[in-house]
Amino acid sequence: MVIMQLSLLILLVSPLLAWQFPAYNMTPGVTPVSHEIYELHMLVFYICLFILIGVSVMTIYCLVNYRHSQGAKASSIKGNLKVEIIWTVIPFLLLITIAVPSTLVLINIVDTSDPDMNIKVIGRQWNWKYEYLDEGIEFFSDLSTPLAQIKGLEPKGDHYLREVDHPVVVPINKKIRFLVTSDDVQHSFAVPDLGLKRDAIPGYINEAWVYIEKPGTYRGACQELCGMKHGYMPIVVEARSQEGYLQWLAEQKGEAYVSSDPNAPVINFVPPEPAVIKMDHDSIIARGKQVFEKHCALCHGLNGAGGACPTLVDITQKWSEDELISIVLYSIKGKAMPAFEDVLSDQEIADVVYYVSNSWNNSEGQLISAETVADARR
Amino acid sequence: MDAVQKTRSARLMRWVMTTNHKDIGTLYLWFSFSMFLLAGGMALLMRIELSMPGEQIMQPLFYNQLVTAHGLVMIFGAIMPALTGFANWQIPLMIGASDLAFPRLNNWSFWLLPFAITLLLSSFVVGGPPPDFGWTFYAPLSTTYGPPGTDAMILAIHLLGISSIIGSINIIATILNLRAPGMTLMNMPIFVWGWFVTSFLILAIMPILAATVTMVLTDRHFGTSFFSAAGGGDPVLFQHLFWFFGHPEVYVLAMPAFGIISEIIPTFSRKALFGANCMVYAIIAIALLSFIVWVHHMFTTGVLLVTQLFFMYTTMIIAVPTGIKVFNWVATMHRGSISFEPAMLFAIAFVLMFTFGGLSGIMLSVVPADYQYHDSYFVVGHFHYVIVTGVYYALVSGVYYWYPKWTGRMYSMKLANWHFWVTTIAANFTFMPMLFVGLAGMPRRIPDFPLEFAEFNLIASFGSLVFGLAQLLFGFLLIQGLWRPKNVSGQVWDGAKGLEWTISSPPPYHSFMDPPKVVGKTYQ
Ligand SMILES: [Cu+2]
Ligand SMILES: [Cu+2]
Repeated sequence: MVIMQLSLLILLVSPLLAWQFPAYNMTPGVTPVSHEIYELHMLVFYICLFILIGVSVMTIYCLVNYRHSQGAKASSIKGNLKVEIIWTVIPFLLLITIAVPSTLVLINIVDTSDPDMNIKVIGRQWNWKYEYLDEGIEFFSDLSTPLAQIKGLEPKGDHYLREVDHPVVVPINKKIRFLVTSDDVQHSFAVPDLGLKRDAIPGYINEAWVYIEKPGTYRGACQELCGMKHGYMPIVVEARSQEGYLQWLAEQKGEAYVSSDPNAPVINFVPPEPAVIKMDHDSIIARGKQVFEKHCALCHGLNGAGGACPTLVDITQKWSEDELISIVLYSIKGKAMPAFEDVLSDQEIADVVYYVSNSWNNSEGQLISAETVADARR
Repeated sequence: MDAVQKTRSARLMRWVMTTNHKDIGTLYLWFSFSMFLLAGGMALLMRIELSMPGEQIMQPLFYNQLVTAHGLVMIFGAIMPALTGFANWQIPLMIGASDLAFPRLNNWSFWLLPFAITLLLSSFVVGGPPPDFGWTFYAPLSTTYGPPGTDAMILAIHLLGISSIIGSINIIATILNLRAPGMTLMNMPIFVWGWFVTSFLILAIMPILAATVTMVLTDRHFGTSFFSAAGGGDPVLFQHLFWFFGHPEVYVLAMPAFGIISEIIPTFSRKALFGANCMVYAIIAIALLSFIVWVHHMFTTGVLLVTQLFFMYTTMIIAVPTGIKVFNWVATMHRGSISFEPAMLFAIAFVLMFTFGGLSGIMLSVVPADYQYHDSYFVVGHFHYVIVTGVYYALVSGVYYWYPKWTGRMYSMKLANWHFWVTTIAANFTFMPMLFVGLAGMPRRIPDFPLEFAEFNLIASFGSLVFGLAQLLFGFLLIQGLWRPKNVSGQVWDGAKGLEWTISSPPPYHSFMDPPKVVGKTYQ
């Protein structure tokens, strides 16, 4: 019993130690707002700690000094209005010391006026879409951790579940306004290092702003339960210098980047060759497999055997290829499967349907061209 | 039918047909304990999944289904029925009534429960798929995107709501009409006060929950679009409605728990409850405030600045009456004569850990900081400190306190002490790490997590398994106690005050057939 009591004591003191490891405290972050939030958090934390220690010390004092086993006699006191007033007023004053700075910080947080640039963020089941409103670029950002790592077939990488194929790239020292919304259910766009969290709600556009002081890669994740793959839709923000950002922008638009610095080395821009899409069986299977592992395998299983979702073994006996294409495009009403009409290109859908209908005991399917998929779109 | 069978079925029918408040209280308590083990088992499955990064034992969809069922069954199947069980047993005994005001209604309000929970969980068995959107069932995840099992859940919530509403009406009618002569409202035990106020809360919020789930139902099947932006509806409206129910619901759970603690601390401090009247005023203040704080669950939805400020201030103010209660409990122990029976151990631990949970609630009320905490594991840690080491501790404490009164037998003190220490250590091992991974940015309701959260999640999983085992010990010692000698006096605890201690242990099947005369205050 004594050992248990001691270990409880050690356990209760351990949070104070944990506070010494910044990895387990709130991040101070890299924006003025996140610094302010961090300071507020520490202020409230110390006030709460003060109250907790006060209550604990009083309790322990009573437990030690007024023990029945040591013959303590109970007093007959039933109350005292004066102390009741004291412990009503003191917490009230403490709360005011919290409320005032909180109010000031909050007023700053909601002031999204005069941004230098605007990025629309659209939460989707289950990826993020970013639209650079002033630049006319847009792209999807999907989890890039391989399924084999999730299933434990491969060792996990450093950024397990916190890596994406297309990070959202932004410049430092600019006021960036995010316009957050959703295409389907509620999500929440959150990056702790930027002090940023805004719910993505269909039919609403919520505004938030950041001003990043340091170049770097900042990682967050969807914070509002949004269905099956809620845990698999990370957010990666890459903050670059103005120069680096413009260069990235040019790349995205397929333009040559002209540095504003006359001494900068001239980069010869070669527009990328349009890739030739090979239509032989092996190339389609290889491409389809990639698409499948990225978008389908988490539920339908790496080998198509299903699990949470229906099995794909023998699926061609149930559905024709045209039907499969329409299911991938628009899903089936009442099923958990998301519609991929906006997520996948015609070619990708053609590839993945071909891959599925040529694997796992399925009858050999016909070659599907991107045009077939384009025709199937309503 | 031979004689043995006849008596057996008669014995069974006694429990089905009973209108006796003690029988129904017992049914409520055992039912809630079994639901507690069931929903706790679901929590353990989730903790096993979360013990290490990567997929361990289940698919993400099943994880979400467990998240949903765990929350709903714990709240509606375990904690609320357990509190109602206490109300059934204790309120008539404590106010000197012979039974509740509407005994047959009482029978119905219990027997709705097993069917409601069966309906709720049926989609796991008959192939729903079951609901997978968390106990908060936010639209449109539960409407347009909800699985068929959602409809069973909606009907189950209706049944559960009916059960709690008629239970509350019964309790209010009992308290208002059946108090023994001399027991004025301000003389009532604080436990009865807690339940009195809770009953009004339930009457106010359960119809709103019923309306909300009905709107979800019509959105799903009858072409309405209350919560669908595409049809001119509003997904945020759902959150307003849900949390207008949801926040007071927290106090529905907490208020009777406060009451139990307010009975136990004076008994084992052998001293009157400090500031008993202030305790009553604090309960009423908390109840009123609980209706104007709901937006603190929605700070990140983009509500207006003034709205956020208003709800930040009201939420902070709730700390004041809550603080009064905590300080009064401590002041009750001050200059008392304290002994450490298991009930008291749990009550003391309640005071400290509920305070801890409540303080993390103050942190959450600070809107800018909430932008970091919201929907992270910090929130999960916070409300589990409040509900597990708060409300559940009060329930356990209450069982240790009144079990000898109910059964006439004393459980094994030694096992109960073990139960306390193991539970308390394990609870902190389970919920403390959640606060820290939350601060570090781990979102809640995810089946898998990045590597940097691995150590603390492993600790939490380990703690939760030990916690679960300790609760099995609790169940064991309660059952074992039923075979121990029936030799407990009516008074049971030397410091206990109140009408229930003036009659034998166990009390006669029909107690207080002639109402006792109450002179002076309960705690004198
Ligand atoms: Cu999500
Ligand atoms: Cu609340």
